Amino acid sequence: MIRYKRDREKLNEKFGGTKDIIFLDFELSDRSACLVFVDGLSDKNLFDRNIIEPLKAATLNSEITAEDINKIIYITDPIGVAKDLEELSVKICDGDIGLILDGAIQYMTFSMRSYVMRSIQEPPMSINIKGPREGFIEDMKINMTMIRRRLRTTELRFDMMKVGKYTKTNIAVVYINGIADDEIVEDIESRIKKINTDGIIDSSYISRYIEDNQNSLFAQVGTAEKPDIVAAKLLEGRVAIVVDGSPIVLTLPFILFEHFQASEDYYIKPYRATITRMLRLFAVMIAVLLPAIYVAIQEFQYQLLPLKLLIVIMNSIHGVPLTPTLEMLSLLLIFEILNEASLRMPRYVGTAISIVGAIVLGETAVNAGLLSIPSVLVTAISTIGLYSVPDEVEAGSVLRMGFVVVSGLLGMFGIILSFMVLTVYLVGLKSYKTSYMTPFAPLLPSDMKDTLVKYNQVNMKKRPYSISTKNRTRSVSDTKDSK
Amino acid sequence: MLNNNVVYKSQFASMSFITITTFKMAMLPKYMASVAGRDSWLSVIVLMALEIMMYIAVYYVVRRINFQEDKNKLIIAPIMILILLVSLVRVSVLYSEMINYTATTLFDHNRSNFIVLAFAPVLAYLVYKGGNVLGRLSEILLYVLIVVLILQAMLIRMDVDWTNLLPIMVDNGEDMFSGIYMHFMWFGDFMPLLFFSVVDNKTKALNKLSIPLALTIGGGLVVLLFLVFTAAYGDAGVMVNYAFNKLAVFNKVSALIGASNALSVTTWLIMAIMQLSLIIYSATSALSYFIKSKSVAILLVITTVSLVEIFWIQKVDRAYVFAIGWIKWFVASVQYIVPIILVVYAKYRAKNTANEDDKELCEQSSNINSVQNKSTKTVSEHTGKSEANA
Repeated sequence: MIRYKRDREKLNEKFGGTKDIIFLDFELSDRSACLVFVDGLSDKNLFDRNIIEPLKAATLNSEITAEDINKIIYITDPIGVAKDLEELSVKICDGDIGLILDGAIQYMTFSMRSYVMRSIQEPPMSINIKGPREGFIEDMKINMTMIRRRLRTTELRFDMMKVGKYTKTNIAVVYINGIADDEIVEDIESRIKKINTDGIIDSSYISRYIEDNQNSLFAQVGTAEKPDIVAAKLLEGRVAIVVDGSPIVLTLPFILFEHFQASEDYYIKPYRATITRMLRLFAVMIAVLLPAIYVAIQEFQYQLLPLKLLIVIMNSIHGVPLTPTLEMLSLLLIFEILNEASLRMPRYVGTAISIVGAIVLGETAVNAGLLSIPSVLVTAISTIGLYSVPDEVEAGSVLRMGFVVVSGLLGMFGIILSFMVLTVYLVGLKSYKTSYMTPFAPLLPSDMKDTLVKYNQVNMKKRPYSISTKNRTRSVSDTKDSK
Repeated sequence: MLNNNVVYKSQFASMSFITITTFKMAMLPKYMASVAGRDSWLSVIVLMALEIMMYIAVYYVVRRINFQEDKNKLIIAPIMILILLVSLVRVSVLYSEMINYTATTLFDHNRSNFIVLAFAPVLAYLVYKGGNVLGRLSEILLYVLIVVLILQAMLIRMDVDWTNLLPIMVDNGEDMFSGIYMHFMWFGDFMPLLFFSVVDNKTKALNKLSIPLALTIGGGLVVLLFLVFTAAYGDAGVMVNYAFNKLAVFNKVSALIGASNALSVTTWLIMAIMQLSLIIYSATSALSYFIKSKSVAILLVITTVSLVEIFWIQKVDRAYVFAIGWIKWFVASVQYIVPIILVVYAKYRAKNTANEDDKELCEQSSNINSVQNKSTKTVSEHTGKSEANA
């Protein structure tokens, strides 16, 4: 039985008298009652009109249950109950309104959440010319709705859980029942349940905990900013993780080649998609290896260059005081600093920083003879290449520095050795039973239809073998038959 | 014991391709030319035929038994010792060739110990990652290899005189036979593959075609290289250090894009690292039969090989003299006989298992019969009784 005075005091004590928790006392059929909620998390107009006014006007019998209250007030969500004050406090923190009513059988909660949030926009890292433009926002419910709107099936599942001692962040594991592998779903859920930490602020926190190789340089959890991408991945048999407060949804299992697939590839003709994918791969190779190859050629293997080009480079580097390795490393470092500064600065200052970086620093350094034009050019090409696959920027920028150091020490020999080690490392990685380098290693010819050469969707009748699924068939009917 | 040695058929085929080609395309043509002269391509054809026969035996074994997990120590332990010794000998010779190749093509100076020290941790890491990672690596390298070979073929400027291949066997084939028996060290490359277990790919076409294609194209490429090499250089072949590199040195566009032989250098080096890893993997696997720690086995093998290179072999010519000495007979006999012994053993085991299965089946069926007889008796007795009661 609820005792108003005792429970109100206990709850107030539990919240430590914090000022953003409002205790709204009133009388309901001659009984003391109190509504408890977080200031700013509920729609005040609706709250007054649909909850306070009906409650004050109501006349109720001795034993009041949630069902009785449900008949009085005007809300769409059914009234919830909390078995104790601990559960009630958690729900209040979640944004619900708690009701402590003297003599009632249980604590009751109403959901009337309303808070200011960012509107749905096109995400900055996944811009399309063709195809859907809406992106996820920080509100989990909206994100879940966006996914649901694309997958109107009874088989779509959202398994909810809370993680974080203090943040108690809501997390939804999303999958399509009958397509996703149950073992993978269970594995993901058990790993999330095992997370024992103070708080989960963003989905990236979750990805650190659930990836197979936690210290790896390479991302082993996919990220998506748009619901169309998540829907497509769910249809392939993958599992998504929606985290409250994060506009980025995680997808698993993840393979390296996903970095080279953009959502637009599926909305344009496959020929164009094939070319852009090849370009992306080439761009990343250039981004990571070009500075190192330039250093190796200057330091050790200058005979590899044609004579005319060699003469041009020799003229350009004449008088530069730094060694090629140091010159390249300093340029890459300057770029990293500029990049970091332009990202953190307010936008109008950021533009100024870009101008300072590109024109003042670059040109002045070259004119002063501190840096050579070819090395500035190589860094610029490498950096542009790096941004052609935005998800690989983190790993790519670290790798290219590593390659430059090794090539400064051992030249092409060092690059070859590092390439071997890197390849072996990558082929050894696994993400939830899936090899990271599949479908290239192990070779899965049927999955090649969606790699460098992009086939027409019509011809991709099976789901990828690389992802463990319960149902391989994607489309049964042939378009010719349907005609 | 190394246990992650299961590979798909396509990966096995990729490894076979790399092992059948790599070290036969670098210094061997020069060595062969110095012994067999213009008959070197004939020697290679004979040796390749031997190679294919060996492959059949190896493939028969890996499809039937995982011999490193076999408990019959009386047979397996001596085989492991022999494989360990042969692998160490082969690594010493081939490693020396790789170091020399690196020093002369990438650094323009004589071999140096820092190259050995740079290779050692990379090889150790590759072997440490295990058999199936090596399988996947070979698959990835195959893409690189295909692209490079196509590029080289497009750029190549052939200046070949096919009459250089003639006359053949002017000295009744003596040169050809010398070419064969002197260079066993560069053949019998499939022994490391004995340590893998092969499973089928999910794609039927890969299962059917991958291995025949790998052997045909790989073997064909080697023979073709020897043919072109002999036709291009004739008796001057002894002066060409690395045949594979020469394919693109004077190509059509070298004036425009620079020395495109960098592509061949890079590719060959990658393949060589891969093949050496496989041989070291076999040595490590053999050693792991006696020492249970994988890491210790790898450390021992890599340290031994590096020390041998630094303090004993030192020069590639010395490695060649060692390779064509008496040791070649030991290596040849082990690498060609061990797979045959294992084939016989696999057959014997299969027969034994079948006999044991038959015995078990007989015992089971006799048990079932006796149980059935008893139950029939009981039923008839019971029926009799009930009939009598009736």
